[in-house]
Amino acid sequence: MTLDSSPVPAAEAVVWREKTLGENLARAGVSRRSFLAFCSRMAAVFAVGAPVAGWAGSASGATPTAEEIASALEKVTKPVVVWLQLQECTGCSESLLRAGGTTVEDVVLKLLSVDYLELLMAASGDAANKALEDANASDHVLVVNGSVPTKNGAFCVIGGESAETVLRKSAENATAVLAVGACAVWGSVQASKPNPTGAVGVEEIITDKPVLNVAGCPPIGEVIVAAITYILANGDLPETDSEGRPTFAYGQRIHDTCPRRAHFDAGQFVKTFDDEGAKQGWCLYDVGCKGPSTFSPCPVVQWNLGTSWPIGSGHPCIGCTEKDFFDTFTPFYTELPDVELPGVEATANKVGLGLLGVAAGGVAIHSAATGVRRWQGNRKDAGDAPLVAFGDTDKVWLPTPQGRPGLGGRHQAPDETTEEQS
Amino acid sequence: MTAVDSSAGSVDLFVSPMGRVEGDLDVRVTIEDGVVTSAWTEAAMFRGFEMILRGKDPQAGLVVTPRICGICGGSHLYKACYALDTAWKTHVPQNATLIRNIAQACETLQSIPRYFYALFAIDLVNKNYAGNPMYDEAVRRFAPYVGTSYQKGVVLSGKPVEVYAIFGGQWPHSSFMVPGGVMSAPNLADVTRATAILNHWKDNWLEKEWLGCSIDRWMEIKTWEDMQAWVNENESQYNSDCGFFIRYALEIGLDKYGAGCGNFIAPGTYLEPSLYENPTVEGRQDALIGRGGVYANGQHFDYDQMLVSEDVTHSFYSGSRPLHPWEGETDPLDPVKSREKGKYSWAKSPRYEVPGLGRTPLEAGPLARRVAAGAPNPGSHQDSDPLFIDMLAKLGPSVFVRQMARMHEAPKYFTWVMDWLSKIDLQGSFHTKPAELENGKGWGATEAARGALQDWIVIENGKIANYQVITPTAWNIGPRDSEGTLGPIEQALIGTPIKDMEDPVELGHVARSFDSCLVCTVHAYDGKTGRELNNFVINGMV
Repeated sequence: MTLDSSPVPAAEAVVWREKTLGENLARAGVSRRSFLAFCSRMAAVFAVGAPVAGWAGSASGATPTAEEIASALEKVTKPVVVWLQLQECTGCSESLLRAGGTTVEDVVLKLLSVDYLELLMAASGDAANKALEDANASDHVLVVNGSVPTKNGAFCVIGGESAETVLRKSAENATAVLAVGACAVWGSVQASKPNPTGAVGVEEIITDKPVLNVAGCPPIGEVIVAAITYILANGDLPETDSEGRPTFAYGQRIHDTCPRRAHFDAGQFVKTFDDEGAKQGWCLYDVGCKGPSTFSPCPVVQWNLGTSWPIGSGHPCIGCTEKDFFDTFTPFYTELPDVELPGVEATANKVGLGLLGVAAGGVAIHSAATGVRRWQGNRKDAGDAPLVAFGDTDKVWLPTPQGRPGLGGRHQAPDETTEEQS
Repeated sequence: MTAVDSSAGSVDLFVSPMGRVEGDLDVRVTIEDGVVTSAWTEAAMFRGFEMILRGKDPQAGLVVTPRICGICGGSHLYKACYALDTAWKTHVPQNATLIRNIAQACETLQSIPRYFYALFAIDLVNKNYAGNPMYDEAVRRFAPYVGTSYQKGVVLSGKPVEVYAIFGGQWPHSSFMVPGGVMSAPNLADVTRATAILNHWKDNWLEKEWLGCSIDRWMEIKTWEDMQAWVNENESQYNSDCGFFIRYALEIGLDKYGAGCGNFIAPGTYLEPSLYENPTVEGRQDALIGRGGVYANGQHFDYDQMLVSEDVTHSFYSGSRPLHPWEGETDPLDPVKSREKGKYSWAKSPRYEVPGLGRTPLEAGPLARRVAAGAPNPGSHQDSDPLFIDMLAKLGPSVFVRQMARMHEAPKYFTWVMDWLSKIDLQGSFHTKPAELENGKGWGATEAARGALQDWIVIENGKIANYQVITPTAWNIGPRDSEGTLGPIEQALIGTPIKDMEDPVELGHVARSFDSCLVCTVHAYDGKTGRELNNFVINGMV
């Protein structure tokens, strides 16, 4: 009813009728110019973090240009996409719809998720069930927003089935699974203690195939679109870190590219939200910024078409691209522990690892301000999180009269694992 | 209007063979002889936010409650912040109140065109109207993606939240409002940029596409006759999207159904900075710019949050009597078992104790706000606007009147935001660090685009002892209460005439006119045979 209620020309415009995406976009009235504008936004996202290697059709073999993205994307023939929305708040969709200055993203997404939309529009329950079954039976890309309640299937019911059943069925023949947003990645806010519904992310349920985690609560719209664009253009998942996040976007900590970094290094800190430092744009570390331990492209891509981003507006980062941030990064407006200040290069880097824990693994952390260092760390083995849930008072870190606890307290210093990259 | 359900059980409603991949809200209706005879609204998702908040740092609500709904995250933040301001007895500098107002209003300004073109107007080009002489023009304007107005409306709707991002860093899901003020300390460039963005939105959408006249001309309209005269005043107004919508809506009869309960709730929003530097529960209503109020049986009442309660008789929660939210409980039950006891929704039924009427379901939303703005005795700083009292008296509530109330807020709020922007004192203070009191009770409220949104917080020993949220959607889609009285949307659907049983677009108009924030699936049943006629989805976005 959403779309088939419109007359024939409009309905045609958003249904995949031609062979390729390019031809369908032309039919939908999307100009070459706005399509290229869209692709250049994508190119900007791909250029944020770790270099994109092996892009199909890239002349340089590296991060693709807007033209290369456009030419790869135009040739895509209709992919089958199943798009599920489980326990979620629609924030990811809202973010997605703010990804562009045109409706190109809208059209692309509608085109891609056409099977899903046809499901929505199906006139009867039986036909809709059949359409979902058909889509699930073929090779398809599965995109998931929202978490899965495991305590009782009735906490989220879709078409008479529990969210978990729907997800398992849809994942069975999926060639790629994208978990979009913190809920789909790890459960997000509803998974914070005591997690009344037993909410978990997609990879807790789907364990037999890789899940690409587009992290953030919500992720920046452009990053969601870029992840989908990568898969369509390359027919493959991008390189990820140990959290399953694409390194092209999540390869750097906010701290590494933060425009306020110079103030951190100089020991210039905002003490309250309204002091002179706040007006001067000093570092927000003391008012709770989690940028030093948060991997996200926010400083570069920014929000709402590059209008601003939290730190840019004086808002300390709450670390929403990190797992369990609701429990581990709170109170949000209290500074991170385990950092000696004023920061010098070594401690600036330790902030990240102090929180993340250290073990063997394959995450590369790049620090623009300190020269590139390679850290070996597998955050999954981090164990006891250094900042534990508020409400769990025996574990909450509290400031002491002596000041901040130094490194070597509860958390191991990452010295041994450091190596300079050649 | 059947306000009390007498037909429950005539149709087996608990068979749900729906094939769909989305649906937070199920609306079930029975149709007999082409008219809706009963309706049930079922919220199908539970996440347990109120349980998560219990025992946590008081400020957790600032980050947790916006995640209830990504469409209204800024509104959630606004009221969560005032709940803490009142509990902690903070001082909020005037600048901070201005910026909170600006951000909240910008979220609503983006919602208005987005909602109209992307969600509501799509049904105006339904093929059921193809025989209408105005249909081709409706298609030319409103057809999704290719309509001449659709593109501009949807794209430009993103502009006001860019202003939100200037002050809040991002939209959706910023947490920049904190007890005692806001985090941002904007400079002249920020304010200039915000002003320019909003003027762009006004010039290119509001005045050019929607009104076809200046804001000032539109705001001269005080009565339904004024509005009709405005349409016919000149070509520009007659052919603007607004002029066309008024003509088309009357042509297809949107003024004839979707009345709802006819009783309204608006806690009001936007505080006058000089009157609310020290936020209190008791002092709030007098400090409002956008007035609050309750309107029932044709009478205006002052809004008093103490008269709100939630009933769980037909909701999947334990509890035997209606409770005020400070005493509220959230104790979920197994839906499968509790369906046997007649429970059918994850939403609670909020009710308001109207003097003389008892606990009453009330409609929340723009029409409720417009009605409150027409109450007598406004303060000199308060919105006073008789237009919708007049329209209600002459037309009664309907899909059309509800829709016009929403659109009327675009020019009004734009004017307010520009005024607030001009009043920011860039040298002044934006935050006063609060004392974090160990114990206290707070209440924060606002008007999200879709209506009354309120938090009640109880803090004990520095932690949250109780936290209850009542959303506008809960007011509107809440199920029956202990008296069997239907919720507002349930009531609004009853009596809706259905021309084509296989494509009941009229139900879409009614349900969409409430702009409920849940994606909802409507299931239509034949009231005599119980056969399912159709199901379709409303407010689906991606």
